[in-house]
Amino acid sequence: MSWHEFSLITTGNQRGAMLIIYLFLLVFLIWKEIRRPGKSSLGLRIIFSILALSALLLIGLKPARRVEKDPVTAIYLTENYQQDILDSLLSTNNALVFSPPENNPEGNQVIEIPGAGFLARNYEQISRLYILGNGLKTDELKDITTFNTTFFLNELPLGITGLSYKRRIYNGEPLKINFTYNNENAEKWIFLQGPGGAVDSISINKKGSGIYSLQDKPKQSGKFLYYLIVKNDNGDSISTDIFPVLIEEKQPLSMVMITSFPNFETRYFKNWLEDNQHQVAIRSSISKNKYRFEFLNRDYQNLFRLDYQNLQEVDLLVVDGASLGAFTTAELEAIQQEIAGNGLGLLVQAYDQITNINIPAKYRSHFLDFNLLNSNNDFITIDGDFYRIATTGKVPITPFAIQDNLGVFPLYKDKAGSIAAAYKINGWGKIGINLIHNTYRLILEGKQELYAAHWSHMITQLARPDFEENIWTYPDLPFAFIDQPFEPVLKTSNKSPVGSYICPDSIKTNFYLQENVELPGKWSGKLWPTAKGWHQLNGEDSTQIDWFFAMDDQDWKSLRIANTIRMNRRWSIDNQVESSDADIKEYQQEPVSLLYLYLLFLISAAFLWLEPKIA
Amino acid sequence: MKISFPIYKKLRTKWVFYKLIELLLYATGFSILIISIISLFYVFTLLEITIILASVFIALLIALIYKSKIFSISEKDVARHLNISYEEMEESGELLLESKDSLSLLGRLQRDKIGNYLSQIENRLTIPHHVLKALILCMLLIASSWLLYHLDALFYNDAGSTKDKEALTPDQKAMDQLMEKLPEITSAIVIISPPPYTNLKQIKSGNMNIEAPEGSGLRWQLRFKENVEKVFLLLHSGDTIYFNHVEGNEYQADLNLEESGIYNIQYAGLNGKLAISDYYKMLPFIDQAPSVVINNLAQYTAIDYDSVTSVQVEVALKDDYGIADAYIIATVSRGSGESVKFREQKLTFDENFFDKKDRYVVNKSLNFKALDMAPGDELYFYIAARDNKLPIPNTTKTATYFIQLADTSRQTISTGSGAGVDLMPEYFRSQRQIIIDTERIIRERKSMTDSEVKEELNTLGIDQKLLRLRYGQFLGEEFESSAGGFEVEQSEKEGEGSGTHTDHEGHDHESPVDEGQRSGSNPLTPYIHAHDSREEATFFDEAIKTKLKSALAQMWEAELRLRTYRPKEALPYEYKALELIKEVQQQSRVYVERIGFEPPVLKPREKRLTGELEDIENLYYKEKANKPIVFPLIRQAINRIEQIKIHGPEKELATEDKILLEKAGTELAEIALAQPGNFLITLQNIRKLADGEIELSQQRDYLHNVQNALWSALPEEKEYPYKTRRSQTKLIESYLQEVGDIQ
Repeated sequence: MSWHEFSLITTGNQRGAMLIIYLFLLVFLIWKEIRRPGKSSLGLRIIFSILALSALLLIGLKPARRVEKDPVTAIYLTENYQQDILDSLLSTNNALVFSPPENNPEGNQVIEIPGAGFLARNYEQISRLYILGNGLKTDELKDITTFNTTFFLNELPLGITGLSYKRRIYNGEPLKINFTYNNENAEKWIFLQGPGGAVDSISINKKGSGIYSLQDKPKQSGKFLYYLIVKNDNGDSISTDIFPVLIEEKQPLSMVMITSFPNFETRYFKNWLEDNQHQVAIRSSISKNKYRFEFLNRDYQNLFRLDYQNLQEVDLLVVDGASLGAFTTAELEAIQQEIAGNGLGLLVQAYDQITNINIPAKYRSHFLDFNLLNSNNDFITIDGDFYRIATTGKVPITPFAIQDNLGVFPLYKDKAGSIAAAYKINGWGKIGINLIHNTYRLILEGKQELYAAHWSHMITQLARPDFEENIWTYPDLPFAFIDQPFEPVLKTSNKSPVGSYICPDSIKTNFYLQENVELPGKWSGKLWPTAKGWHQLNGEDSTQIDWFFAMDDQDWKSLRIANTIRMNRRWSIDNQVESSDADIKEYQQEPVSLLYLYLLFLISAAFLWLEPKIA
Repeated sequence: MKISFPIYKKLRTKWVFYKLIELLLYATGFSILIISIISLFYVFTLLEITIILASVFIALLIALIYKSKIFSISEKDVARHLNISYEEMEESGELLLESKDSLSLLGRLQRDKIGNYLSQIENRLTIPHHVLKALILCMLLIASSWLLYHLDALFYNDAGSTKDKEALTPDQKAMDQLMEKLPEITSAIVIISPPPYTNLKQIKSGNMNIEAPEGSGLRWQLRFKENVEKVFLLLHSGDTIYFNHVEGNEYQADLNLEESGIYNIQYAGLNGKLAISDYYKMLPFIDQAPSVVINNLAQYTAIDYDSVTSVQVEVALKDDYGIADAYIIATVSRGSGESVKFREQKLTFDENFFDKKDRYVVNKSLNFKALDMAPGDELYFYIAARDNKLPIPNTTKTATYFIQLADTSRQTISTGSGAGVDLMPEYFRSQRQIIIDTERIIRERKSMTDSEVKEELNTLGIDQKLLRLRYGQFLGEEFESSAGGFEVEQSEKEGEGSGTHTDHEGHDHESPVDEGQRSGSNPLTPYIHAHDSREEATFFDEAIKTKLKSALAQMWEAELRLRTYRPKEALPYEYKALELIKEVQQQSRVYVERIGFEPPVLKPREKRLTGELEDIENLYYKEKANKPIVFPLIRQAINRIEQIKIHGPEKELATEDKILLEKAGTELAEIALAQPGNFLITLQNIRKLADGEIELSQQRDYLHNVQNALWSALPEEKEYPYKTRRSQTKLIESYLQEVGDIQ
């Protein structure tokens, strides 16, 4: 027996606190003994004082001994396990077989337990655990970390085994659903059905797993259910799975345009923006210090000078090169701060060579940090393919191309690969540059759709986004199942958020959120929906409301099984034991009996009590 | 110690009971009123109403009981009341509540007396109460609540456009009654008579959805089991067409099919109940204009005149019913520049189109000779065709085709860019007049008297002279100008007066020559080298002047002959003069060179933005574009159906949902008008849903179909920019801070 076989059960903090108290008491007791007039058995008293205190300390610290475990092999059956694997394991191992009652249809000799957690709590002596079937649930996996576990998992089931789509989209934005389908050797038809009926479909012939995608373009905002319907080649429905989609109205932007002269480009641009309900303010120089101001869908505002105040409300600032050069240092500073600090978007319309723009070097490095390459093209083709539109159009371009450096994100790149518009990220905001001009020609040519697509893309990318301080995410699946745990995650700057959800029948229930240790501001919670329908999720201050849909436990069967199998696989890889040698010794901590320490304390205390009386 | 007196006790209980009933009535009345006011603004279910009603009632009751303190009514109060009400009580009612022992002897006597009195009149004793008043008030309150409720319904109907509702959906009860009592239709036929020019046969059809050629006559024939009061068609435009009673129980209505639309048939039985049919569509096939294709020619053809003398045009004509006529309109253009001339001609085909077939292939040979075309000429032509539609036929014209005959001899003449100015006065032209007059006099000489002839010839001579003098001006010979004119008049007067023409005339025509000789015959002339001679100082060059001079000489000769009455001899000179003058006119056209305009040089860099602008104001504009939501009710209905589909068991639709569906249906009907085939079934389904005609088990399917159709009726969302979402978390913020992008 050596010292390293001993350890303490208590944690570091507790130990520290106890040690400090111990030392104080020790000093006090020794000092007390020394101060006492009679010095007869001082040494003995001190020794017993120390013994009594040390016994107390040890009782608090709970020493333990490392003891070798008896090797026990166990098999845990999960849903849909394969009998032949079980049989072959049993033939080579003398193993205990555990299973929840519902997972043992074959009627094997098993110990019925409610779950894997029960195993961890009551059968600590298990040294090797085999898990068969579809695998354990997430929370059960956390319980079996103490075991040396080997998985014999099933293959992925047939049917839909993977799903990804955006559960919150804007009205008019394409809804694209990607899914993995594991097919047997038969033809399948998969339909996407929404509130507008069957909108897209795909036929699958290939055997095995493949990734497919279906698409719809919503026309109306609201909370809608889409369905993924799988039919065989006879037209019989094999499965129908619901996926909920939250379609929201697009929010218009607030823009300020500063131009050094009135031109057609601005005119058509602002007409288009106005028609789409955006708030636009335009300042065009018409002479020295004389401007033409236009305020569309918004109130008048003083725009003689740009400052923190009037930039606050703006989502995108559009300036041409000459106007940028005409800004004062204070204005440039305000713009730069608003971009980096608060996410304002800036678009520089470079109708000219940008080196001609006269601004201080400090701001040049922010606003015009693009390298331009000479090009001979006076025109660029706006390609409809880029926007999934049939038309293409030719528009004039300043004869340069933007160099594709690190940190330059192209906004528009033609087929030859030359970049005509790009942006850089600057703090929270984006700074873009656009070499294309006179795009209004597209409108004159009757290509309004292309014009709209091109500018929508440019502006949406650059404009200040809605910074959501509180946002719910659903890391597992973007929907919930009745009577199954659903674990939403709230990202918030709130110090102590409390989650709550409102059922379809308007009953509000609170649930508690736990902050992630490594990522502060990320809070996860768990709840069990009881009714089918849309549920409203609330953070404590109800700044962030989100919705989730709870559906029948029978939905998305194959997907959920596949996810469980995948998760178990991943877990088994993450928690792999270095050597899989079966002879490895298993140890466990066995607490040392505290009775001896009590006795020691009793004796010491008795002496200290008795000694003055005797003396 | 309190002493109770049995009569008092009974009265007190009665009093409390009455009060309690009053309060109950008040509470009931007021709580019902309150509920009806609240439900003006909110809509509750029955359960909610009951709960709210109960709680309001209880709250009111408790408040009233607390306020009126009815349980604190004591026997003393009863005694006091009796004291006031009955004189016989002698203000001693309270004595009965005192113990006998505590009273004086007199008091005891009085107590017994009053006690006896009370037990005598016990049955007649009354307690004041307002139960009746409370009951009336309660009734009034309930009545006004009832009124309020109906007022609400009244307002609601107003807002929800009662008219539409009636038109589209009769209420369920009426419908049920109709089913039982309304006369049945035994047969319904539409007779479609296409317009005669189509040569299509009349069709009898039981299908009320009509698709027929434009202009067809439609006749509906309905036969009922019994007589009906009225039958009519209601068109989408709101027009009503009544059926005429033909015979027995048969009715018919006529309409000309001109535009697409929707209609339904409504009829009322003798009991006045109205039945409404499903919606049906009317869809006319529009008669298309004929199609004309030229098979063998390109739009522009150039041909050498020599090689080909005619061109064959082959034309394919096609129409859905029949071609009535076709012809070629040809235009020949000749010449070039300003002198181009056009000649238009209508050419017919050999085919006469009598049988009005729907397809023809016709030929026409365009013969250049026949069209009188020469090399260099161009032929433009197009082909027009007309179909047999009545009353206004459809016509088609092809594009214009060109045939050019190449002109081998044509030269290109480049003319200078100058504008011609004719400096010659119009006098010159009268030389021809003089010739004509001379010839006339020669011709008519025999029929005139001698003196007449002489006078005319003399006048002619004067004209010739004047002309000569005018031309003389251009040569600088202005010496005679006024003298001549003046003298003519004078000589005429003299002529009239004296009658001796010869002398005067001799003098007359002698004198200019003399004068001319006088001034012109400077004896020194041959010896002087004159630079600025008047003769030289004219606009004309030497050649013209020479010609003009010889013309003047000829005129002189002519004048001489005329004045000496020898017109025949004068004539050759006159002709010669005319010829020379014409030559001069041709040669003396003067051209003025055009000079370009050279503006002064601008200096934008120096001048720009240097003006004084203090008084110039900045320009401000403000605009607001309103983008209305398209089809708001359809959108609302889609969302509502989505909710209904998710939640709840199959139960009948709520009234507000039905109203919403109906309204969405009205919006859909607008779309359906433009494309009648598409949404007809949906409209019918909406009506069935709104009328509750659908079995609950099928309701979900119907709702699903209606939602699909409504969704597909919505227009595609247009592309426009929008505000995106980004999560702003501590992690990103600290990252950005580390990178140094934000301070």
